[in-house]
Amino acid sequence: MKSPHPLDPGRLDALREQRAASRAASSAAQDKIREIHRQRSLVERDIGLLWADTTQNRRAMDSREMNAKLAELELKKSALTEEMKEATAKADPVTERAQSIGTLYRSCAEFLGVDPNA
Amino acid sequence: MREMTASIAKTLSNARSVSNVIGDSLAQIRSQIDDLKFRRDEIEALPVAAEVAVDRAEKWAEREVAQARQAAPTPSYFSVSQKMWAEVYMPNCEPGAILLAYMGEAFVESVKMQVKAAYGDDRGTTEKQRLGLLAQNDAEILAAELAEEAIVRHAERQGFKIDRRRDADPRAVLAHESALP
Repeated sequence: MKSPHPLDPGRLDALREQRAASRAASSAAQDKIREIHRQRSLVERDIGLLWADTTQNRRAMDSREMNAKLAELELKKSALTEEMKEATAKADPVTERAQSIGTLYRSCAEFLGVDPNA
Repeated sequence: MREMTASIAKTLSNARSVSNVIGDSLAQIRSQIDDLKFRRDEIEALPVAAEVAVDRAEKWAEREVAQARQAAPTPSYFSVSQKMWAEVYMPNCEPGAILLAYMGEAFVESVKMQVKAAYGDDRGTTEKQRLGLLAQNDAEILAAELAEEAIVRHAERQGFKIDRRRDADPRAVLAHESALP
């Protein structure tokens, strides 16, 4: 495919910058989701430990105290689940944008005969 | 303070109206691009020229007849040995192949006539005409994409962040400023 009009190869640099920025934004959004996921896994582990703990610790723990502790952890888990939903909803369009600009950058680089991965 | 607030409000209002104008213009040009791409599919799907259609149909019919004549090469295929005669007539070969083998020429002519009748007064589209229409359509799509790119760059200069389409034409995205409308 040839161009019937003059091109400005410098435009590819501008696109590359946009691609880098959108990739960084997408990466940050994914990092946030991973971090929330990690925190929720820790809470789930604590809940599991509490239920599985048949040792003296549990026996020593008053059932009211145990229920309170469980309720607190479940609440924390729910909050983190909600937070993850919100983070995912925010991350989806960011990721979509990054993929879109990535695809466009690739086709423009290939059109100019430039390695898109360079 | 009141003046400053009014000034900020006016700036915001202006920014909103600029943003709306950019958004509307982009939506309009993108819709035009979609229409033009749809038109391209229509051009590609236009019926071929009548003589090409007749030629293709004739070749197909002749192939079918040739295959049938391999399956039923002699008139004896109409009959079976006397020992085989039972209450019903049962030829050695399926009737379609026999018909094609012995009435092949009439079948080919009939197919050609049917195709011509289907075209009627319409002569279809020659390959040259199709290529011409596609070239014209390509030029129109590129012009629309250049207009779109001009809007995007104008918006970027105004500080608005506009996402380009992922399937935008590289010739438009990489166009020199002098090429933009």
